[in-house]
Amino acid sequence: MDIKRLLRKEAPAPLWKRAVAYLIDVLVLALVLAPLQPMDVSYDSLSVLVEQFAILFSTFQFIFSILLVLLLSLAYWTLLEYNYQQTLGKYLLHLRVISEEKHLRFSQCLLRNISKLSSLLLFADVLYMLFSHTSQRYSETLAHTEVVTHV
Amino acid sequence: MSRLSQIFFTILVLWFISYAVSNFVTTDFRDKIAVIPLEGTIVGSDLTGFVPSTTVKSQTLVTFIQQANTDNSVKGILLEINSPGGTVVASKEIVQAVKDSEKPIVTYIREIGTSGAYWVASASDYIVADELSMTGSIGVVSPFLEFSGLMEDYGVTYNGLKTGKYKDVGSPFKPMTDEERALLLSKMQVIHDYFVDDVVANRNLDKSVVNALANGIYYLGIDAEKSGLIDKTGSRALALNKTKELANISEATELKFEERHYLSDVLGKLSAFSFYHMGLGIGKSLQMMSLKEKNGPFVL
Repeated sequence: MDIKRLLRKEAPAPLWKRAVAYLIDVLVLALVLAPLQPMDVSYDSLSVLVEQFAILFSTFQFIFSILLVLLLSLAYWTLLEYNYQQTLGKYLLHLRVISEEKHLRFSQCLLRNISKLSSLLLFADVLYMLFSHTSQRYSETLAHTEVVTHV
Repeated sequence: MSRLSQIFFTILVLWFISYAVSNFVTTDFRDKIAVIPLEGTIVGSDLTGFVPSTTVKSQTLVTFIQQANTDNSVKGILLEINSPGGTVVASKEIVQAVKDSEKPIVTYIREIGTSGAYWVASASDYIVADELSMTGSIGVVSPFLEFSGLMEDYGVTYNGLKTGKYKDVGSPFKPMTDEERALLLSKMQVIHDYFVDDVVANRNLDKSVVNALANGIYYLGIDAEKSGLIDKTGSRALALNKTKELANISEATELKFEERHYLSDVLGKLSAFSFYHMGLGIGKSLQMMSLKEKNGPFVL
């Protein structure tokens, strides 16, 4: 595997590049999801705001909007990585997602990005990467994928 | 298509999905009662510009009523009136919108709902007013100022060149003739009769009763209830419950229709506030100077 990678002039992506790419993607995603901002309220006082939050939480629309935000977030990472092996952030930082197997499958892309839906899961995932000698997040290990950069 | 273009295209598609469903997500489908405030003098158009005004444009109200009617989640409308009335046509426009409403409209008169504002209220399905609120005042008023005496004192003459006999009727620079007065009063009487007839029809009252009440005086809520000008005296909560009742719903959230305020409004208010306090300051300074000159005691 390492020889193949050397022949392709690829190396595991450094952490800072991955972090910057992730930040860019989060910003892009914020723009994509901006119309879904579920709060469209005007309020005169904090109590009214709290009351409106309470109403909002109890509605089907709120649950639906949360699900949609999760779905679109997942779609952003998964579709782009599956189709182009890159998100916009990775493209700008010259990073690429590769499979340890023959081809990068959709299920692999889905699995490696699941943890991004929860900040807690992502934190644990990144923590694993910091102590891993392969520079892979735990979800990447499970999905048999890697993020590489050109050398 | 380059890879970057493809990535951007995918992002655009995702954004479009997000945008397309956003309206659905931010829509509250629960039953609602539209709360439409009618506060201030009813006018056809607001020409005050930057200066903040206590007027309400008829078109704004008409639009609100129409919007409430097209919103499927709105089951009834609560019209909150706090207005002394306004211009004839502007009031009539709102009256027509209230009549055209397919959803039940209940009016709540808080402090004042007189003249044109009462006309609007009369067109609604049910009127609730506070016991001590002012309502009624059915009549037409058309004040004219006349400066001819003042002008005469200062040697100013008025030359009213006109091609029609009555073209300068109501001009403040000349005294009104009896003929002109009669002419204007006859036109006002037409409006008055129209107003009375409409109240008779809207409130299902006897014309003689309304004619007796239509003397221009306002009535307190308690008196208005006895005479049939309103349905019931009570609070806003009562009016809201009545709206729900007429809409055949037990639970509903309130959807308040309010005119959006822009930066110009804020600047207008700010400038008016500043000028008011500037004037107050100048006035106080002059007062102080005057009192100091007199060497007398003074208070600020």
